[in-house]
Amino acid sequence: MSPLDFLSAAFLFGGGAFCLAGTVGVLRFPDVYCRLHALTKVDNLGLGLVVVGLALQSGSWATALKLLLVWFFVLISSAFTCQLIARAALRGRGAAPWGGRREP
Amino acid sequence: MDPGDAGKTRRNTGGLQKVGSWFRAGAWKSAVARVVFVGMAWWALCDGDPRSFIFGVPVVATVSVVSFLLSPPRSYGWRLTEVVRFAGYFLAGSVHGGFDVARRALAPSMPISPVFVRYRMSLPGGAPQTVFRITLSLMPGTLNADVLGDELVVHSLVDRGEGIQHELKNLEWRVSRLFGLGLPPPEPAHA
Repeated sequence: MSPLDFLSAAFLFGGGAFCLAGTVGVLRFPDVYCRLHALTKVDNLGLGLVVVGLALQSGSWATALKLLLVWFFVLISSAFTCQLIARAALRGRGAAPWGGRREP
Repeated sequence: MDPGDAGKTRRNTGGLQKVGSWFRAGAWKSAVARVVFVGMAWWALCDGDPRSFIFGVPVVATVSVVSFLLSPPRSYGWRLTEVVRFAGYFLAGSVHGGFDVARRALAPSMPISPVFVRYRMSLPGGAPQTVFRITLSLMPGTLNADVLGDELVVHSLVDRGEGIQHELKNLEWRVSRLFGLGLPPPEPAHA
């Protein structure tokens, strides 16, 4: 394995770990609004790391750019979907936000 | 007349534009940026194969014209250096945001104290507000939940009181700089 393979494996494993953490967040967080935080931020970072890991392996600038475009469009669409879900929960369903506090 | 003044004058007369005039004199920079973006997207999709350009050039031209018709290019005074600087800030912010939420999700004590806050935007409508709302949702701890005119409903994973407002002000100032709009810089944090 070349150093590039190690680097790209590190990015891929890191990305997978963040996606797993995002899923744990969706399962553990108490209400729909907190779960959206886990879905948007953690999964976007996970996808970004996977994209970097794959781009290092692609061996072509065009494919690397294509992967970056995929990430860019997922970023935008996830920011919009997250806002639409939060708005639907606030206005339509009236999902009550969790009012607790958990200190570290 | 320096370029900044020219931009301001054009912005102020923006409402008087006729429906048919989809290309304004000062908007060439936005127009070129869009054509370059669409062209690069085509190049990436076809893996840089030169044979695809026969089909690609008309597609890029058509998509650009449709984009100008649907959303006419504006004459924002943006600069490439500011775009790169904002992209760097955005990347650092999303890495920080991802780490922060992942840590809170995985920690056994799950230290969260969610709260809704309201924030009045001073950015003008259209692209600046949209960019602000997208980046806000990917920054550490904040999420755009609803928008009521110029007022945002922001959900924060951790109740940090005034810190949230200050962070939003700082982000808004950065977005305004990205578009070359002259919002005053936020006063330094007290925290």
